[in-house]
Amino acid sequence: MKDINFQYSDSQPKIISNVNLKINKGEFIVITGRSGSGKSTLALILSGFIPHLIGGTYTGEVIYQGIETRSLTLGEISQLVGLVHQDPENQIVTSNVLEEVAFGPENLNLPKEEILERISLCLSATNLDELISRGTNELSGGEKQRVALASLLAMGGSVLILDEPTSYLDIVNRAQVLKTLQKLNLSQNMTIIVIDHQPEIYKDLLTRLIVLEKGSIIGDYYAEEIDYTPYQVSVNSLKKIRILPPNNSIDNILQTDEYSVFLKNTKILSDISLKINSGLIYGIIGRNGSGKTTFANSLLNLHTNKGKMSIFGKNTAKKPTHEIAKDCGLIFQNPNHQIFEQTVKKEILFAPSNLNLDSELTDEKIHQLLVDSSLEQYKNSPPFGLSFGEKRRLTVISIDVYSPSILILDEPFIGQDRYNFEFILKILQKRKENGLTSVIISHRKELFNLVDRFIIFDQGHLIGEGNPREVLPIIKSKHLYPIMEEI
Amino acid sequence: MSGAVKISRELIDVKLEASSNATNPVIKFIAIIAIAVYYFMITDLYRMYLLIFAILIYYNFKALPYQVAKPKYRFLIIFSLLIVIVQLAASRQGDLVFFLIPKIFNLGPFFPIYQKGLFYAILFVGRFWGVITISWVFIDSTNPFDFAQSLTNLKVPYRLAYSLSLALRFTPVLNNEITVIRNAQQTRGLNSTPNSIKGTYNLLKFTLFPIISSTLNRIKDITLSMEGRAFGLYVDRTPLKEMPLQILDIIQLFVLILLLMLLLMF
Repeated sequence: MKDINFQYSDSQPKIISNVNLKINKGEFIVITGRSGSGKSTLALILSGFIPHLIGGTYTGEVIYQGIETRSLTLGEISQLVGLVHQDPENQIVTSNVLEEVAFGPENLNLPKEEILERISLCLSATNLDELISRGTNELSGGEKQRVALASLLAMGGSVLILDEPTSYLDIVNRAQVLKTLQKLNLSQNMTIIVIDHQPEIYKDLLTRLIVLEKGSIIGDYYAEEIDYTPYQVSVNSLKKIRILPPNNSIDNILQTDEYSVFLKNTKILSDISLKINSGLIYGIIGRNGSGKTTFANSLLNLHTNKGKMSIFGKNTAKKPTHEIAKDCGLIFQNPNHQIFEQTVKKEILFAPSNLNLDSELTDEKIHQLLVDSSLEQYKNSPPFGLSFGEKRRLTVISIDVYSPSILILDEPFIGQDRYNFEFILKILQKRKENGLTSVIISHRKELFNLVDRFIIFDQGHLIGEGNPREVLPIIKSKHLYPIMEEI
Repeated sequence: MSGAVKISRELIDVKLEASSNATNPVIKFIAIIAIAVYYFMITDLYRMYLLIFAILIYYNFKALPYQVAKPKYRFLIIFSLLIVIVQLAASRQGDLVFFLIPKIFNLGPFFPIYQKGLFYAILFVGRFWGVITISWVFIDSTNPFDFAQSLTNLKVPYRLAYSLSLALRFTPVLNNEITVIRNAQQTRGLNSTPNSIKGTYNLLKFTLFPIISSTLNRIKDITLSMEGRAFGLYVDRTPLKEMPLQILDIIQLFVLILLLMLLLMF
């Protein structure tokens, strides 16, 4: 990359500024940096989508093996380099694995025999042989990620770029994806470029770490020079929250008894008996597809359920969701699904106004929330235009603003940098100090030093509940975390 | 060739063999059109509703391969009621059957229902249900990309054929997004079953923005994914599955059309 500069429009600042970068064949590079530092834009430039498909002011040159990418079409570039997006779900075009892997080679108009050869090789390289007949909607997160990888490998390129490839995955699925990347890098000498907020995940694989800030490279380190500390949340800041004593603790504010949940008449969760107390932070963990999100959604009656469920001792089984929301807030995985209003300020008032709680909110409180979340400058801007990290902060404060007794956060740390992670920690700390309960669903290892209690799901069953030490044997046996020094 | 690669190749061959035995989607599409035309040609309500009933039973009890979610009938029922109201109010031909509101003391009767109005109401509702239910069967039993390929075999440009199949592929995805957004609204305290005009307006307003945002994001991602895999690079593409028209497909279609014609005549 030579002198790369890019801005999406004249009214916006430069998102990439004077980037010069030389990457050798067979390197395994991790690019990190804060949210909005330009990492994903850099990936779009490297993969040719900028300037070929996405508009903006672009200067500089990207050269692959001596060929400048502007002289090629996007289809030609796709035979040199492939980009795997953060959420593979959004990348899958067809209905089954075979069609998905065949899609690229079919477009290249290759002879049928060569297409079959490429598919065979790519399915083997990504260990997908057994899944060939599967529908793409039947795959787990890790399997989808590998299908996305295989479908780009089939294009025959020698460079793979992956945008946060493991953020949605549990530890077992993550290990599978990392193993596949390592195999491609070492045995096929492929160049791998990964964009991630957590470079330490790749510490056994990477050869270089590149750090971006405000669109410029501020650090370029070889493996042996890397200090991972600046990219990690400190254990002390997590433990500081855990050791806070529960304030006015009330037992069993939420209780389920022989509780089962159904999706399209299929039983997803069976016989869940659980008690949640006030003033604590709970972590819900389990493999992909174990029923964590289904359980969280069912607590607000978003799914059909049977058995007993109560909040503050009152049966909520028949209560409509919008009434339960007053006591139990839920923050979805994808912030785009939970934004409704036309300005950021109105968005904060959306839930309180629906729940008739807006009279308790003063302008000062809203102003303070906006300042604390660094969204003050956007208060009259449309929330759909915010970055992913900003949207996440907005959805968190939009529910925390009315202080529900229970707040459930479903994968709140996906795609979030350390700054946004620490912002959510502040919210959790404040809630604990005020005697409110928070429940976090996450695969992040930081949970082990943060939460007071774990709730563990496995294949639709509750298999453990207790403080991190108590449930350690289950965590070990179910491979939920690469044990153990942090605990 | 290594052992693992050989296994993959065998599995691919088995998969391709299986899909080549399925009914050609274009034939299926023509059959659906033929049935829809039949609904518009007949006025025999018994036959019409019997066919709809049979298709509904087939649809609900047969596990169709591309079915993502069972449809909600509420929308169909509301729309049918609207059809009934319009027909009953508009048509005043034929004998008077009854009054919707009978005479009470000296008031009324109101809203006379005429024979023709009643007949047309039931006929149009039947046509509406007939077309919708048969299209469900087509969507849920057809691989969108097989449909695109079979259209391409008939010399439809592949870019056009794939646009159509993408619309089919992402209809259930969009449906799912709407459900997620509706759920999200409720978790933010919005009543999903409002009993006022203002409430209904708010519900629609707060669904529209996230749906637009979500759809635009989806379009962007799919465009990147397709263009990033050389879609449209060449005038032609090599289909892995050929989806040729087979004699059996044509015989099936011929039998169906013959059957429909016989039903029309007798």
